[in-house]
This record gives sequence, structure tokens and C-alpha cells, in this order.
Amino acid sequence: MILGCAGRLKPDQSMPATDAGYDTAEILACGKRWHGLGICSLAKTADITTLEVKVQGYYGGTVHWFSEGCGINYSEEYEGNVQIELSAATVIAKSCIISVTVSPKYTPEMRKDLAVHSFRGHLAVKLLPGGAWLGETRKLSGNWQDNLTVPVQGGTAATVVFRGCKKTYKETLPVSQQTVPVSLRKASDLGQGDLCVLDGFAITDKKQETSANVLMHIYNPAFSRLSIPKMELKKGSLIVSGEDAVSIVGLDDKYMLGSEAKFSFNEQLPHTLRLLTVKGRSVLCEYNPLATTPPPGAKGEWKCSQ
Amino acid sequence: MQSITTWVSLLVQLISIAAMIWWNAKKQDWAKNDSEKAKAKDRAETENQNQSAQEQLDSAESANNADREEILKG
Repeated sequence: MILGCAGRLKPDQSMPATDAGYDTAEILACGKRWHGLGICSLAKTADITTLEVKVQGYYGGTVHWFSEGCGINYSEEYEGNVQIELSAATVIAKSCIISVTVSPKYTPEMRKDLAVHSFRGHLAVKLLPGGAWLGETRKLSGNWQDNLTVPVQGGTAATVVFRGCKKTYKETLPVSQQTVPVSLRKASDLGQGDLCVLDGFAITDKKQETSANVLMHIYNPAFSRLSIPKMELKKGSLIVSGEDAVSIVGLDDKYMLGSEAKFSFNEQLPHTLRLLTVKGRSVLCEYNPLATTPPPGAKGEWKCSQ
Repeated sequence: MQSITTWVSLLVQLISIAAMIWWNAKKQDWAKNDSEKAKAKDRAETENQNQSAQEQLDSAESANNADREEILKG
């Protein structure tokens, strides 16, 4: 039985995710699946450094790739629900931010009189000479407070330097349990809509260094993230119920229209679940089966991001 | 007389159906235009965000490298 068979997209009363500065494109890079914001490091040693980057496309449309620092600026059409790869000719000559905008076209029958919006994402790529590195991403809003826990080796104090988000931060901080907690609020001076890469390091009094980068984007506090769906496993099937605004529910390469859907589900295999709206809001969930010896045991775990 | 009323009623129905078809087509056109406008705006905004973040990253890396050397020497 297919629950999601509405045949057309549904309206979403929220503000478009791109207008709010909330990134939702699904990016695959450096062995990870990122939702909206991603970060990777590359060794600076190679003569020519390339990076495999893909973005998930939905229902055919256009993907636009752009990077001021890495000299990327082109669009390409895609068909269906496919992963679109960044041109293999892209050379990463320096640390840069790769931005991607996925604009599904949908069919006129699906769209009817609804305006559809894009899914945008950013991937920060840091070229490193080597050594320890910490890379994280943050989507922040309103009166946010957040810390970065920088791991360090040896020493009782560390000199911490961060720049890149409208502020220079230099502090000597005590090392506690081989980590240095850094207030991201103090290390940056950001306003609504700002996107930046915090770049810095911690050097301990024993001269041990850890490099760190945080890709940060401040979104409009009036924006509502799409809710995590209800998921129910029943007799080898996964039943998914999302918000009314959800137009598309997809499990792996199977996509259905509507805010509810039922899929056949193998608990022993990893899966990716996606819920999308016409305003570019999305939920991305990954299922990982837990290793159990001998079976039966815990079935697996879901990790969802909005 | 009855025949005229029937014809008028039919004509009114036809006009209202035609108007509905026209209105629906128009709404779809507007939605398509809105989608295209949003796409162009998103693209321009993305480029601006990227350029601004890149400028800040470039100057941050350069200043951080100088600080790093100084701290490691000191």
C-alpha cells in the first residue's frame, strides 16, 4: 500500500530556507554526508589537489556550483533523483568555500500553481600542511551561545587564535582534560545572514599545535526548521509521517509524493531518508544497523538533521 | 423564452469554465515566474555570501600564519 500518492506538491507556509539563510542541500564530500553545511581538510603537499564533491538532486533541475576562491562558477542540468558531481577538473589551489544551489524543476503537473524554491549548501575546504585538525559546522540563530572544544596534546595552557568571522580572537586558555573550550560567540562578531569560516589554531605551552576551522551561518530566527518525522517499523516496512508541508518523502532511491509514505525496509542495511518541502526545507536521516552478535539484538539507530 | 434562458445559462457556464481555465493557467505561469525569480535571487545571494566569506578566510589565514610562526618561535 502506498500512502503518499497525492500526485502533486503541497504548499509550505514557512519562509523559504534560502531567504532565511538556512542551508539544506545534501552534500557528499570527504566520506561524509553533510546537510547544508560541510567541512573537509586536504593535505597541502600534493602538486595538484582535487576533491570529490557531490550534491543530491531531486526530480530533475539545475545545480549551480560557485567558489570565488577555487575558481568555480557553472551550472548544469540534471535528470531525476541523482547525485551530481562537481567537475573533476576542479583544482583546489587554496582553502575555499564551495557553494551549491540545487533548484528542482518538478513537472507542471506536480507544481500546479506553487512556486518552488532551491536547496542551498556550502562546503568549506581547508588546505593543511599537516598535523591535527578539527573541522566543524554550525547553523546558529537568535541569541546563540556555542562552544568549540579543541583537542590538544600536552601542556597546561594553550594560546588560541581565531579569525575569519569579523573579529580577531587571541586568548591563553587553560587545558582541561586535553581540550580547550573556546566560546564561538567571543571568537566571532556575526549578524543575521552572515556566512564565514572561522580559521585558527591552539598551540600549547609544549608547542603542540591543533588547527581548527568552523563553517558558520547565522539564519533568521523567524525561520522554522522542518520537524523530524514519525517513523514506525512494521513487518519489514518503514512508515514515515512528516509535517503537512512535506511534499516529498524519499528512502534511498525511492521517492514518493505526499507527507506520508510506506517503504519496504531492510533493517540490516544502512538507509537514507529525506523529507522535502517546496520552500527548500528538508530533513535528512541516516539509518545505521547496529552490529549484533548473535542476532537478534538492537536493530539500528537513526540520526536525523533538520 | 425557455430556450433563450437555457442558452444564456449555457453561455454563462461556458464563460465561467473558460475563465477558470484561463485563471488556472495564469496562476501556473505566475508560480513558474516566481520560481525562476527565486532561483536567480538565490544564485546572486549565494555568490555574494561566498565572496564575502572567502575574503575573510583569505585574510584570516594570512594573519594566522604570521601569528602561528611568532608563537612557535617565541
